[in-house]
Amino acid sequence: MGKAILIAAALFGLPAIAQARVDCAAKASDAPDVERTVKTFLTAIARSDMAEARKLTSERFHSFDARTHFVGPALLDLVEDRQKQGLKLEFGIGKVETVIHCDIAWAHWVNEGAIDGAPTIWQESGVLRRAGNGWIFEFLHSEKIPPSPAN
Amino acid sequence: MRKSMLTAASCVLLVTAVPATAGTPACATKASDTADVEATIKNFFATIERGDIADARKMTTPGFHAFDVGKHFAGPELLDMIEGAQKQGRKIGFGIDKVEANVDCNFAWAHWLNPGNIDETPITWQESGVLRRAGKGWIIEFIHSERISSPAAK
Repeated sequence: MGKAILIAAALFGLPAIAQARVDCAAKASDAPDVERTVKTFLTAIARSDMAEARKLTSERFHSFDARTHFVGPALLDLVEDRQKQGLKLEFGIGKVETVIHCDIAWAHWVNEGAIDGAPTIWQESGVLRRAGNGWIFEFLHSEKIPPSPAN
Repeated sequence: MRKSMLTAASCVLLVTAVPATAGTPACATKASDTADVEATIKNFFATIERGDIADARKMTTPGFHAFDVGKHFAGPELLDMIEGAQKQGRKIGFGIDKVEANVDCNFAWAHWLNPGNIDETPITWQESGVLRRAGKGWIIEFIHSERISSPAAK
């Protein structure tokens, strides 16, 4: 009887243990992977590849941008619509500072770009979730900031 | 013989697997987590509002930093700046209503609107934050605070 319980525990317990290991498998490449995801996401938006950008968001993605709260794909839909009307966006992301918590990461960066050729700086932060071998956005907070006097 | 081999294999699996599990973060998500995160955020701002910056510092991680007034503040710089302003007589009021929080294991992120005032001039901030579980509560790792000028922007 005792042996049967032990065998059952091993058989039923192992999948849970394996799952726990996978959930928390922080890798040395996580921080660069998150940084790459941030840059890929914003680059996709800049070139109006919204299909690519949407793939890098979770189902519950939402954002603060232009002082407004956008739920789901509303932000990407709006940007796509404006780009069809001629809006030109350029992004220039510097160093992405990243913190990894198991399967969740958060990051912040400064984005020096342009809107229709006019230099624009955004101060941005985001929360990302591990998805398969990569990362996807859960939340993005983008704030346009005035250029510093030095600029 | 076959039974005993199977049992031995099970023992090996259990013995080798358990330490690996113990090495992963305990993921004790509680029903009260979302409410606790909301309470932590409201408590943090209420503490700042009443000028108890020492208490507010206890609600942040050692690596706490923030985006506020369009700038990046590392460590205690933001709270130091607020403390200095309050000592010079500035009055800051906050009015956070609903905090939308997401909890994943020992980590949470949240966003909220903060209609408040500085020296009685109405100001609304749009804010988000990242928190880490600490003991029975939560502490704040990062805050992104953006002043929004118009209530219509809600």
